[in-house]
Amino acid sequence: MLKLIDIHKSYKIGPTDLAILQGVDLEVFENDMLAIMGTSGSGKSTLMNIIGLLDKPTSGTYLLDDKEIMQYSDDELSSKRNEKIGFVFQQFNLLSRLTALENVCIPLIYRDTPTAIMHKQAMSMLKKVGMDDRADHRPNELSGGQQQRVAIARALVGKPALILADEPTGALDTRVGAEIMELFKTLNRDEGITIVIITHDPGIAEQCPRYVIMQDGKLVEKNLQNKGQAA
Amino acid sequence: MIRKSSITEAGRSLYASKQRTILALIGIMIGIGSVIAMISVGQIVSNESLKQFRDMGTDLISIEKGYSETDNSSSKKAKFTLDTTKTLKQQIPAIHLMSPVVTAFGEFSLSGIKGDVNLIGITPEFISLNKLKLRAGRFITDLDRNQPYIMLGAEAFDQANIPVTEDMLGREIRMNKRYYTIVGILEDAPKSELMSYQTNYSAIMHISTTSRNFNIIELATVMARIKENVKPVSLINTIQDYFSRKQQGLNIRVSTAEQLLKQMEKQMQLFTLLLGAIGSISLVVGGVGVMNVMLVSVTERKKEIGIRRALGAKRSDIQNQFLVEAMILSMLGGAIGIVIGIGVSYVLSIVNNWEYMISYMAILLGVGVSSSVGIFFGYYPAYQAARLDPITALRSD
Ligand SMILES: Nc1ncnc2c1ncn2[C@@H]1O[C@H](COP(=O)(O)OP(=O)(O)OP(=O)(O)O)[C@@H](O)[C@H]1O
Ligand SMILES: [Mg+2]
Repeated sequence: MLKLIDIHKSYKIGPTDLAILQGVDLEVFENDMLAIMGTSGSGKSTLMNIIGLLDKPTSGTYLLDDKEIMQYSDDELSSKRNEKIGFVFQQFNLLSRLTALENVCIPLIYRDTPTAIMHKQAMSMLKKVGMDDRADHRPNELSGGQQQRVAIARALVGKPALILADEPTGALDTRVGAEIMELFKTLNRDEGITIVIITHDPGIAEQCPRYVIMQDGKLVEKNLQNKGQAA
Repeated sequence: MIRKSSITEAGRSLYASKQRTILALIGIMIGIGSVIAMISVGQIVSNESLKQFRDMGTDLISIEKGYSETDNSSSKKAKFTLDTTKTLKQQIPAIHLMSPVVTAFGEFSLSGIKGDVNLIGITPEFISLNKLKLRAGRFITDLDRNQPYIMLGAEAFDQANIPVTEDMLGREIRMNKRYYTIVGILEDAPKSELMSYQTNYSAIMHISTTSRNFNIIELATVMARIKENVKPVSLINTIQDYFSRKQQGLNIRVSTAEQLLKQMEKQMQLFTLLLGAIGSISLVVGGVGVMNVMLVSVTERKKEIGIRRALGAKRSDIQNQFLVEAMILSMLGGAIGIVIGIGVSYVLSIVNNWEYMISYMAILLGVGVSSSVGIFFGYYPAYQAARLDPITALRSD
């Protein structure tokens, strides 16, 4: 599905370059469920943003569906994000002015889906994450776990092939975090959605068939034995 | 492309920051309101001052003695008399009404009250040419030739501060040691800048009476009306030729209502434009208010922009979202401003006793200007929002 070859990312801070990613190689396959671990500040989110087409690497090759993303225009990147990728954030990132249903609708708005269809699809996604009875609630009327479910519904509504979750359980307690993980596992198993999860929690990483660790700006593959195919 | 959802979205986000929205609305309201009020007032005032002029018709011309630069003896001797006009209508058939006028100035006494009064000497055609109406009594006719009969303009004794009342009819007024009987009282007469006399502020008698009793040889003016299908301007030379044939060296100046009207209209347009320009200053201030609100809104909603970008919004989507918001703000303010502007111009018309008219031009302008203000002052903040890097936006809070 996607392939990163020798990805570098550095930030210019004053006169010096701060190298965060220093030659990341990673291949993510269809139907993968991959966890990325690593110490704080090691560059996990930086990598995730690059995978999610929100940021561009300083150098290296990123093939998405065998196409080099550097060639995409800004509008094409937006469309790709919209069609291909669903984001789940640690802080949920729901828009507080909008109801749960309206939040879920956002990705469809940018596809010009007719309102009636949009509401129907959003509603069925809320049902899938068990939040259909809270469709008219605003984020501040929902618990953290509920908000994250709505956020997952939003990530799913566009039928993306890939879900990128940056510490999705980081703001939730263990029990609710486990529920969210179950949801991801179901989606991966039943719908074949590729899932990449960043986490600090080894317990969560262990639940993934595959996990990698970010170390010194590079990725180190861990439990390859769990996966049939090697990177 | 503007989506329906971005309109409801914009409405919501404006509602969410009510205070700022209201402040921006007030700014734009006052701006549009003052432009509309200024332009409306400009138009009302122009209309007011042109109305009477139009009422008098554009077929009106005035013929007066001109003064040539080459003041030779023949032009000094040439006199603009009643006799020179006798065959004017015959020789220039395009003229269908012709009214020679002499003017004088006198002291009067009426029932012991003394004062100054303007005098006009006329022929009966004066009445139809000036569209005069009677309040009481009768008009002066050719039967009043050399007779001491006068009719009074609606405010003939204005200089003496005496109102003209109907009981003056039949009374005798003394002027220049002679007595005149008041036989008619006129209603308010329409005015024109073209006329060198003021019917309303005058006592009016037959031209022969004025000439004889006040010893006046030369005409003050000859007013004339032109047949409908003839352009007044085309007659200027013909008329001048006519008079120079009648009286060698007589220099004639012909003014047409049409020319004068055009001139006045031009001046009035300039006047209206000037008022509009003054109003626009506050509009600019209002526009800057909109821009400020939008800039703050963009800064406050960086995170939202980032989230939307992550979910697939293109730069143009973000740009439109903020542009729509700015436009709603300024058009809403504009709509209220139009109402305020119309209200203010209405009140001003009532207070100043002007004939009120609704200026559709001003309303159209208001709608046009407020949406352009929205686009103009909303564009920069919207551009700033669209230009934001998704990651930077997403990281901010
Ligand atoms: N825009 C930026 N400018 C400069 N430095 C940046 C920028 N973004 C990230 N960094 C730096 O890059 C490094 C990696 O950041 P990143 O957010 O990827 O870490 P992380 O692995 O996700 O950490 P955490 O587990 O705490 O979320 C950090 O040291 C951070 O300070
Ligand atoms: Mg991170």
